[in-house]
Amino acid sequence: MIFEDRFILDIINILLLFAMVFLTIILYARFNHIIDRKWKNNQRNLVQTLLAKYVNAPTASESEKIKKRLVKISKSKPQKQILLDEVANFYDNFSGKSSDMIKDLYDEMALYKISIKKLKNFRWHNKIEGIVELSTMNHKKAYDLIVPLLRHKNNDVRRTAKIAIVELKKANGLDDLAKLTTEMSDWTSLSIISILHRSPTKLTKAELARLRLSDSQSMRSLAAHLEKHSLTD
Amino acid sequence: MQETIYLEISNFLNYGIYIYTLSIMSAYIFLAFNSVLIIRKYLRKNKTVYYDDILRSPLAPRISILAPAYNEGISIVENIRSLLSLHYNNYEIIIINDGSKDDSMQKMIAAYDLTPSQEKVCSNLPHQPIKEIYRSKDPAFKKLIVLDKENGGKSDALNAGINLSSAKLIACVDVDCVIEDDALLKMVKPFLESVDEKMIATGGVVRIANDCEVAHGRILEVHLPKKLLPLFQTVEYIRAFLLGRMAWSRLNGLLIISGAFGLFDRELVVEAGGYDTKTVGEDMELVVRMRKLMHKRKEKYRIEYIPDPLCWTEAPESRRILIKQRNRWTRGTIETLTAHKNMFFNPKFGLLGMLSYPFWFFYEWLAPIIEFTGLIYFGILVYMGWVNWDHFWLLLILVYSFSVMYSWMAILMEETTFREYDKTRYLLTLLFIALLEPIFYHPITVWAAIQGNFDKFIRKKKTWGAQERVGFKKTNPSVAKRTN
Repeated sequence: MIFEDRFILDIINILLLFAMVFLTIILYARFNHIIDRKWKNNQRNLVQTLLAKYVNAPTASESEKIKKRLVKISKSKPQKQILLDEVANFYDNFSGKSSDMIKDLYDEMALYKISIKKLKNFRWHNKIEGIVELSTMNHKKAYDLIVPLLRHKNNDVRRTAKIAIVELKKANGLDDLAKLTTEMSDWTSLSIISILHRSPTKLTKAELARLRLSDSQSMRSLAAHLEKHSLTD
Repeated sequence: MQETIYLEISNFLNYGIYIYTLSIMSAYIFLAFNSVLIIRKYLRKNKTVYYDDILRSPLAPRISILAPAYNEGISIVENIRSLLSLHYNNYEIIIINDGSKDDSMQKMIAAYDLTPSQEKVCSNLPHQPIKEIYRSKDPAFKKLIVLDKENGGKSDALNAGINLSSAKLIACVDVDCVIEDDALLKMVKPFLESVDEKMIATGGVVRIANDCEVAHGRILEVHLPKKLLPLFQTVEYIRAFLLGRMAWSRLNGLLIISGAFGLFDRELVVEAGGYDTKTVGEDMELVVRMRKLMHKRKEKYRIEYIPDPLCWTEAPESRRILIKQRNRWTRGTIETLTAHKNMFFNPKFGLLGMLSYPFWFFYEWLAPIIEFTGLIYFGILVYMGWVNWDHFWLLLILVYSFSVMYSWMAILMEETTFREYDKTRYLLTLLFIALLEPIFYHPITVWAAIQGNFDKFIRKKKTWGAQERVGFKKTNPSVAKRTN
């Protein structure tokens, strides 16, 4: 019994140690959340205000001033990420001249470099983030970097890449997809159909015929859907 | 000679309880480890998910929401309004009035301008006769169908709803629960994403809504319950869903989708025979039957849980009602396990037979019985003066420290993921409640489970029993009774 009691005592010590570690992490996480939330909210508000002023700037010199200010307040990695998130939000929610201005700002500040760096990161979720950011910003130059990810070992990376290449190059993207013989989930198909719905340019009959001849069963059924829902010229 | 026998028995019980305790702790640590992995993956994956494409798509699979209602007159109109405003494009709501004795039907007819419809219901699954089917004249409520039928219990009502439904997927919900706006989108996602395996059901994490601010069927602000019993249940639910169900989801070994909110493949439910009207654990029983059917078909399949809090329910505030509820849950577990006993350590059913079923058998059904037996044994030892008090205190501290460590781990998961309890005093309260729970709350659940076993095997009880609700904070606090 003495040996057994010592064993129980050891387990209790381990459990208490873990309990204390968990408690410390919980309190630290909460403390961090309170500090972080305040900082993030302030930074986000500032970036949003500046971006709103930027798209409504009356003169080019005024825009330039705001741009410089944005560069100045976005030095660290988290600051740059907040800027990128807000630029993507503005780009997604505005159209016309404002959207073009935001896109120019994105290109001039080379914010795409943050996303491209994520594509090269070994963590699958960072790759996904990078793909989504680049496709949201319609950064067509990243197309060739995303295509190889269609064969990535992670299913979620592949799925996001499939949607992104259609988002970036519409029919051409579909052509590249058709070369793949892998199955496509309903989620991916529905997302692609929705992207093509939103797109002002429609598929030509020839492009659709090419899809119908694809080796991939998923592409053939996607082609049938596209035809059925009048997404062709 | 007699002394040797006593010693043998005593050693057997000592070591038996000791080994059982260590094995149950190991099992829970294994589950917690799996939960951490799957929740981390889910959060990373869903950080960039864009639901709008599916939300707007007319091609999204059709979902029928089935909500059985019995004497829900107090809140039925408001509850339907909340279901009507869910974020999903392609769905219908089927309210099954299960022979309510109150004014539920009249209230629904008046509020939604309902008129009898001549449609016929297919008879795939048996159920009590249907009196009438109603649809709204108002195009704003075109998604709503009300099925008025003779009383037959929750399972019977759900079977009638399944027969009426024409959708690919059915969402079975408790009408008195608050469902999050985007719940259907999140629940349908695994169905749309599966390629190699057939998704047969998904479940949503259920949270306690007592004292939360609710208006128009929506949670406006999350608060912790003010009363002690629902507070204990809050910690219990966080632990059960975040550390338990999520782990089984990763292992693809789920045996239960909560009756409060689950999404199922309709065709498979019908093929499996629908809900069993003879059990009080119909939610668990259906899932086990569906899984057995998939094994019989030799098809790859999955059942998943979504860790986001998608459904908010009212927890019992009195000890009497809590004991009744847990008594029923115990009987439901026993009924399901005994009905499918051929799965026990049966390699034919893979992980289901070799891990899920034995886990439920040893650690869900037998745990309270062993705990209770241990207490009786301890009583005898005290009476005989044979207690090794040093050993006793060590064992007690072992169990207590494990319980607290495990609850804190669950709270850590909650804090680093969904952080529903945003106020720091709520977090501190949860941490404190986790210290009290093993002493003040756990014995109640053990006692309820013992009563459940007694009712099942000795009294042969088969009914649901009366269930009383007090309604959410904003609703009329009158008492509603539900006797299915």
